[in-house]
Amino acid sequence: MWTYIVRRLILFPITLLGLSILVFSLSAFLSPQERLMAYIHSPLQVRGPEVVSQLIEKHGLNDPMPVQYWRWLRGVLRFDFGFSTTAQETVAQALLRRLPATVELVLISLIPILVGGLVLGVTSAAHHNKPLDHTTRMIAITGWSMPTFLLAILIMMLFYGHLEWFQPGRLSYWAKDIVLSADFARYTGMNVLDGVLNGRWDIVADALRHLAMPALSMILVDWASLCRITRSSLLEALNQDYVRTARAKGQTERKVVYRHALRNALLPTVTFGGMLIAWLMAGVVITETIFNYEGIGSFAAKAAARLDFAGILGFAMFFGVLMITMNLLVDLGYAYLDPRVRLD
Amino acid sequence: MKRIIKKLFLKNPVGLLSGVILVAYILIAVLAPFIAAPKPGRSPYEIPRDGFMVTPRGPSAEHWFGTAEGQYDIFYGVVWGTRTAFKIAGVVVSCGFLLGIAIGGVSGYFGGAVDEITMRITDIFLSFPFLLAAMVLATVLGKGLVSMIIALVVFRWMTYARLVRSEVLSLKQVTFVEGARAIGASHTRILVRHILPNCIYPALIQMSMDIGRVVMSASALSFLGLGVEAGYADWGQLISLARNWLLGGSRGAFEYWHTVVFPGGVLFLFVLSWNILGDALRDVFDPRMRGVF
Repeated sequence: MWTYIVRRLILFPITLLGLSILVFSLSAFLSPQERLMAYIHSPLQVRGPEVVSQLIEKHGLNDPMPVQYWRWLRGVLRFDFGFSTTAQETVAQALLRRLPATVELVLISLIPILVGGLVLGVTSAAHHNKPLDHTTRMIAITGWSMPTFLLAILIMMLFYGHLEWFQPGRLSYWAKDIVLSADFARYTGMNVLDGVLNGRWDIVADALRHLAMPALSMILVDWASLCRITRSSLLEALNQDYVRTARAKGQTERKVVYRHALRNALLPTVTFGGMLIAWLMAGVVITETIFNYEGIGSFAAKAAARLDFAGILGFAMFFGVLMITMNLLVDLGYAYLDPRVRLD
Repeated sequence: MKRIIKKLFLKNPVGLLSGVILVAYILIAVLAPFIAAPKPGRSPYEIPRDGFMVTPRGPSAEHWFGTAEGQYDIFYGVVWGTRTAFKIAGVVVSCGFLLGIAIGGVSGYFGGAVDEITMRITDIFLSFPFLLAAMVLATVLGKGLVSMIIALVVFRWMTYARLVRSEVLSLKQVTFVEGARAIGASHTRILVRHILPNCIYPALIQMSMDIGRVVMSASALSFLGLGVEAGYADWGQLISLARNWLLGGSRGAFEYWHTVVFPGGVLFLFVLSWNILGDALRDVFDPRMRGVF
């Protein structure tokens, strides 16, 4: 097991280095003028064409690429991605400010997805090839084929436009005033949690009302994938010899499914649970944009649409590191749970 | 072949339905010039406009599906958008497939350091969710159909590479490969003539499952404003034109329903049919997964 862990830990920085090369090579498609924004910290620094060429000279943007890569990497290690024209602040500030909102949205969506996906996947597999199974399969594949942006638009039309139950954004105006006031302590930046910690239940309710629509659109799409994975891994487990043995010795079907097969079948689901966070984080780009929810997803979409290169490359680097770290944690967790992996 | 068709469609009503729907899409794409005649002298992919009024208009005898923001004819866009969808999916999936076969084949066949390095590179490319990676690359390459396709291809080969690699790893121990090596066949010959043809089926199944996903991501990119040029016939583009009209107007919230429902429905049905077909294919070709999605 230690060999496996050590191997993974050694590969981690190498993978991160590879990621940084990948992101940097993307910027090779840009002209020095376009790349400049990744090196400055305030728009006041760039005034007039002469200043731009001076700055390009100063930051060595016409140097050979490996030299530039090294210089850029040193900045990135200090969490310095330059200035974002979309957010009108440095990319690092923009990302950090918006991160809690995205984390809040992802966490709120996660629980219903895990519970719903697991329950339906297990039910479906336990009733293999019966009507209940077919129905669940059809619902799951329908959800899986639904483009997130289309679903989000339909939810918006129904709940916001027609029923007027929910609103886009993160908070109502009155709630925003309270949250931004001095009396309200911002512990985490997540409105729901901060509301609870401050004992302001009206803020909690308002924040939840704004979270409902974006969360719903993410839940419906990703829930289907989890259902698929749980179902197929449980079915595979149900075909194993030890399940036949359990059945042969007269164990009840209930016990066979829940006691013997499910435990082993849940392993791929654990991996998926880790990947699910990654998928949700990818989904937020579309969802946040449509519901005008200010998180890192809508920031990335805006930066992309407005050709804010420093913003989009900073986002890519930030996000890539997040993903690779998550992958490492999932793999280590998997090795802990499944002894077969360690022998690899 | 007969057995496959029988299992794929005749014993599986849902599979049959998805097959019929996909044939209909292919017919629409092929017959597009007859279904919605392009204006002479213009690119057929340019959606014709009926005036420049901003507000969309509902379905009428002249515009069957109504018009979108800026008076783009939705029916025309949907019909020619079918061609765009096939074009994007075809190029992206086949390029990804070829890249994946080349990379995965070499990696699995030679093993050792080559394999280790290639697989780590694959991991790095996989560390980004597909849509986000394509979004970042498409931004850097600049707006347009070509750069969108490039962006999608660059992040679509990894699944094939992994799939082919694992097949090659198991195949290279098999007797017929050993036999080929014994009579002195070259590496290239063994790989191309003996191993790759045997691991093509799983990759083909993966291709059918990918088509829906690629079209979905391409539409999402167009929706975010990173896809095709304004006015180009594309489902995602049409849906993005609906963005300002989601909440309806004086005649209720659903006043402009047609701007979402027609292009959205066509996109959804396309993706759904490919996913069902991919599932059915997997059922037939991979007995281990039979009955599993």
